[in-house]
Amino acid sequence: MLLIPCPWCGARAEKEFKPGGEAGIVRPLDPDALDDAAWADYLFNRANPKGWHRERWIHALGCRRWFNVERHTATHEIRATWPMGETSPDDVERGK
Amino acid sequence: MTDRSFAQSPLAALHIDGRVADASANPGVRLQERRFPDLLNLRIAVADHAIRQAVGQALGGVLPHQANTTSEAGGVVVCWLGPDEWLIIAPHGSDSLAYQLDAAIGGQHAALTDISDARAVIRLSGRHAREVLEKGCDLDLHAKIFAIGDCAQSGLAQAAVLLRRLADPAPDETTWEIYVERSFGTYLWMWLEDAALEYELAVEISD
Repeated sequence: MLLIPCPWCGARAEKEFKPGGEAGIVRPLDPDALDDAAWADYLFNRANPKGWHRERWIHALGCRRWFNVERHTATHEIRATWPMGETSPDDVERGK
Repeated sequence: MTDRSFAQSPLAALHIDGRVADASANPGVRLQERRFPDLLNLRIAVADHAIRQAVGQALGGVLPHQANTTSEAGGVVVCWLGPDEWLIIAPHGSDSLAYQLDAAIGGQHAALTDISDARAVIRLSGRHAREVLEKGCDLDLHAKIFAIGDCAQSGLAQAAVLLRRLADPAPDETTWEIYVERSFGTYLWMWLEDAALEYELAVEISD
């Protein structure tokens, strides 16, 4: 079982959380301007990397807040978690 | 803040008070229902320091801002539930409290919801109370980690609960209050009784 550090409650067992898929997917500003392929890409296609992956989780049995997690999909190592709407610690370091 | 004459315990079907006489002589675990506390759920946006301060003052203290902690003033306990959410626990009949808090909010953006009838509250104490909880909860409940006055939302035996640690009744005993959704109350009580069997159980008259 993973030990996930919720940005609010601290480290908790994985079964308190539910995953919400890839993070940082931006809804197109003008969906009507998109062709079917571009819209389908937004709706369905995800990165699915073997390596570091940014994803959304909700602390369902705790504070019930969504937040971001950077997790390695092969080793399950969690490098960082940060609240919604904030910049990841990595990006802060790189000055993004 | 139900009229007490209409209020029915969420655990009524268990006839707990009729079980008091069955208590073991030297119980390792005591179970008790805390009946009809007034419960208010409070939400204030994270950045709204002014409203937080006003509500904190109306409660006679401050809203706890540190995760998983509580504050207490004048018999009213405030539990941290999230960065913008608190549970206010008051004795039954604190009808004026909601109006005082509403006045403190003063029409600004916040949410105050009476959830008194939405929870069952179970009090668990004794020498082996912590061991009983540990059978169904992943949290580290050791006294060094989970101090008196701390609270945490987590899972207990498949139910979503708010766990709160109260003052120790004796040096080798602990006391906990479990807030669970009303419809889970009977299930959780039965689970706790089962988990407490090996430690000798006493059911206490409801508070």
